[in-house]
Amino acid sequence: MSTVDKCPIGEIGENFDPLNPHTALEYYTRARAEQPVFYNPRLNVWVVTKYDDINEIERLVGTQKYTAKGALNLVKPPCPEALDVVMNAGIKVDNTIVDEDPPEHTVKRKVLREYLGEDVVNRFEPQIRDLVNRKLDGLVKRGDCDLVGDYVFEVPAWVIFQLMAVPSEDMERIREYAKGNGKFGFGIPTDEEQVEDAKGIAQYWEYAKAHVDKLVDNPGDDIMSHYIRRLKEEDASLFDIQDAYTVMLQLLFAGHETTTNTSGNAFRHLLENRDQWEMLCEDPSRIPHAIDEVLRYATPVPHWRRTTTEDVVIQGVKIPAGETVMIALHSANHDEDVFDDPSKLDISRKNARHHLAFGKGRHRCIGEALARLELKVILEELVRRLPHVQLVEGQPWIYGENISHRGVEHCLVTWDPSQNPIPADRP
Amino acid sequence: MKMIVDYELCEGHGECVVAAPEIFEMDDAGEKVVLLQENPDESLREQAVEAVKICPIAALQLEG
Repeated sequence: MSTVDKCPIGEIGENFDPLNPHTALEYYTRARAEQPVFYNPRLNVWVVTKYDDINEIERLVGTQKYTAKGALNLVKPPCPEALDVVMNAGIKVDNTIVDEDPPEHTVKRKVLREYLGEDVVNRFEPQIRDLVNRKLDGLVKRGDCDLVGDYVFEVPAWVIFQLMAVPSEDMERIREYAKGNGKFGFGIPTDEEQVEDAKGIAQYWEYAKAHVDKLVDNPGDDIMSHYIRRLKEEDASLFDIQDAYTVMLQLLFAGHETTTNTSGNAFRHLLENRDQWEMLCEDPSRIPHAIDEVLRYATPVPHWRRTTTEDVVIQGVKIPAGETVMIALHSANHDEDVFDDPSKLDISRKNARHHLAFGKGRHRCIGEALARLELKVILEELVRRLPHVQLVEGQPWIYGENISHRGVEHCLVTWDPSQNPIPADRP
Repeated sequence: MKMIVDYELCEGHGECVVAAPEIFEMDDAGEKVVLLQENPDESLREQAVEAVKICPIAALQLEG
């Protein structure tokens, strides 16, 4: 709760809407030049827009000046009915890894990372490639589709479910439960939407509990069994079954919308800058680097939040203890001091990998290797089988409106199936 | 210049090894990086700066 005097709120602070993807870049650019740290009364957050300042906050969080607590605060507090649903289901979403500090955070992150390192996730590559190709099998002869809704949709969730050893017959049902999470957590839903989404999350929670409880007695070689076994080995005092349920919730939420959004953004921006798309078709080995440029350009997690643990001063602005600081990762990725001509998509950009889309420091995205693998396979197979797709002209670009997820919901394309490069793909 | 590694933070991603192979290598267990030169020569500044920038965990600092 903030009752202190905010520094004079200028036009930027007054009008900046962190939920609006269409005006965001314009505000970030002005802020970086005129008011790099500003208070936003709409969300009661202090927005930090410069790359170096954000880098510094992430370097310190958990040890000095900033805590990760508050990262998952609902943007709109739950209405009474939604709160009832959450309380009755016993859902616990906070103080587990994402919004935790050392020492607890360090051990839990370490054991979870063991299952998400590059060599472990790369073992899933054949299955991912297989699934992606089966999706394409159903599309290639059609001549038109929505690359988000028809192609990538379900793929990232399916991959997470594989890691968790969720039976395939359960996947569609549980994915439905998690549908509203982005808006519920990071947007401003109506009361009715909040209740619907809370019910969905409660159902997922029930499922996670049953799934995890089974594993405690009968562990397998899935990610949750690994987490439980290794955490008990490292520090049994830190193990709490409620945390394990939360981890299962967080894994699905973290690994699902983010990757889908990045895929959609990649399709949109690479196809809009066709010369770049064609460079990838010519040389698919450039795909990993192109993924970094897309992450920089169209940052899928545009903002993230921290809380100050003491009074801090950034760019001459004093932020009291206990305040929410919102790091604008999307802004950092367009910082002219770091990236030349930042509003240009350039898959050859030398320092594209300096982007902060995965964060930095001890809370660096733990799913990075998995995300990169999925995105690589999704783009490789599209380039291989449908390099000639064209964007439907004039289509509206629709984004979910919330502060921490930003990606196109649809990407409509057409092509001539008789020109499919692989003969078996032609009608 | 002086390269400082925060070993508590280091997770052994090895990005620094790729950026500055004269300054870093991976340990045998593949768990942490090994600092080969605490005071690299000025000629290695570009690689040193890149290593600091690219470390995903912000575990490196360059002084001087």
